[in-house]
Order: sequence, then C-alpha cells, then structure tokens
Amino acid sequence: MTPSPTRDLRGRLDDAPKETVVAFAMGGDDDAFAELVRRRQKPVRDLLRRLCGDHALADDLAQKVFVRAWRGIGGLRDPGAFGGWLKRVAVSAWLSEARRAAAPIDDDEGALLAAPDPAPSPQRVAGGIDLERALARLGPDERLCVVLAHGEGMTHAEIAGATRLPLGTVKSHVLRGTEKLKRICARVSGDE
Amino acid sequence: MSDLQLSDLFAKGTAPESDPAFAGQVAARIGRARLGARLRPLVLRIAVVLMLSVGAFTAAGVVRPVVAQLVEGWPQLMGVPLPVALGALAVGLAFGVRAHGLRPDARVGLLEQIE
Repeated sequence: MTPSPTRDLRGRLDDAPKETVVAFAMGGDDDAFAELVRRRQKPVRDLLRRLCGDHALADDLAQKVFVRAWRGIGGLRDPGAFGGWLKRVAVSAWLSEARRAAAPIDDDEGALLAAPDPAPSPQRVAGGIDLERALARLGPDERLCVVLAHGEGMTHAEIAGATRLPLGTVKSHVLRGTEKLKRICARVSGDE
Repeated sequence: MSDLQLSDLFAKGTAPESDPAFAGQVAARIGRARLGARLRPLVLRIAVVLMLSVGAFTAAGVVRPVVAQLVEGWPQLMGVPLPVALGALAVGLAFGVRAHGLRPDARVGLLEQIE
C-alpha cells in the first residue's frame, strides 16, 4: 500500500527546516501552516500567558494571533523573518486587548503575598515562584517590556519597534520593571 | 535574585509543548475566516443587485405616468407602445455590446477589415 500524497507531505513537513515550512505556508499550503501552529504554539502561548496572566484569555488571543498570521503570511518577504514577525503579531494582539480592556493594575507588591493563590501554575510548583502572578503586579507597558526583554531576548530597540513605545520609555520600563519583579520574586522565595 | 535566576524563571513556560486541541481550535477558526472571506464578496454582490433593483423599481413608478402620457396614440408592438419597445431594444443592444467588449471604434475597425 502506497502512502497518500497528503500523508507523505505531512511526514516530510514534520522534519522539514523551519524556512521550508514557512515558504510552503507563504504559498498557501494549509498543511504547512498547521505544522507552523504545531511548532510555534508553545512560545506564542507562553508569551501571551505572561502578558495576560489569564490562561484562557491568553490562549484565545494566541488563536487569534495564528488566524492573523494565516491571513498575513502571504505578504511575508523572507521566510527567515517568520519568528520575529509572529512575535510582533502577538504583541500587537496583546496591545489591542490591553487597550480594549484597560483593566486597572494592582501595583502593590505586598498584595501578591497577601492574596490567596487559587490555582498555582506548574511553574510555581516547579520553581517555587509563580512568574505569571508576579508579572501581573507590573503595569501593562512595564510587563510587556520586561517579558519581551527577558522572556523573548529582544533588545531595547526591537522592543521599541514592536511596541511603538519611545526607546527611553522602553529602557526605563525594563529597568524599573526588572527591579520590581526581582523584589517580588525575592519576597516570595524568602517566605517559602 | 540574580539576572541568571530571573532568566531561568523565564526559560520555563506553562503552555504544553504540543496541544492538538489548541491546534484544532486554530484550524476551526481559520476555516470560519476562510468561509467568511468567500461569502463576503457574494453578499456584497447580492446587496448591490438588491439596491439597484429597488432603485429601478422606484424609478419605474415615477417614470411610468410620464411615459404613458408621451406614448399615448403611438402604434403598439405586441401590446407594447413602439417607442418603449425601441428604447428597450436600444438599451439591450448597448449592454450587449459593452458585455462583449465591442467598443464603437472597434466596430469601425471590424467593418474596415470586412470591407
């Protein structure tokens, strides 16, 4: 029995280099795009979970990000730029959501320690510190800059480009946000 | 807490490595988006045709009494006043020529070729 062409392509996509899969997806290949979703879902969901602090909302946003990516991938010029481009799409989706919701952020570091933890994430269980909850104590812009700098390894200039925030503001948010995050984490780990 | 410890904390994530349910939901959303993209031009066309039909119906109601006065006393062709029949024929021919892309200057060229 000979394998079907679809199954054959599916098998080849599993092992294909990223650029090849992206190039296929840019040409409108649905199997290739599904493979990209399979490969990139974790980083996109992790990024949005850190930004949202709410897994359900983050996963919903992540799905929207992939739909936007599906719509826009044909316009991508360089397959190698897919990762950075997808990250920018995710940041843009988060910014839209944050502006739409405009939820008040509790900046009180002590509140993190006082508030009960309804559902500790696996990260808390593993590392002793719930990073997502700690990040939730930062302001939206501060959190965004800290996550992009430390979680995604982006430079200040790249963050400024992706978020459209002035470079000076980005530097200040990263510096102050990081210090704040360290203080929160130190207090949490010190208590345990 | 050192920068290294912070980096370690960021290196882990809470999302599963591979989640078929998530991929399925993305595929379903893409399917809906694709269907919407296909239906949108169709709905737009139907809306335009409906709007034009309503406009033509309204205009016919306004024009009918005026035309009835003008064509009174003219001979009729199968129950239709002759000027109305000729007008309809002229409009039909004009649309037919446009639909086939035969512009008046093209027709002149075609006639020259035949001659």
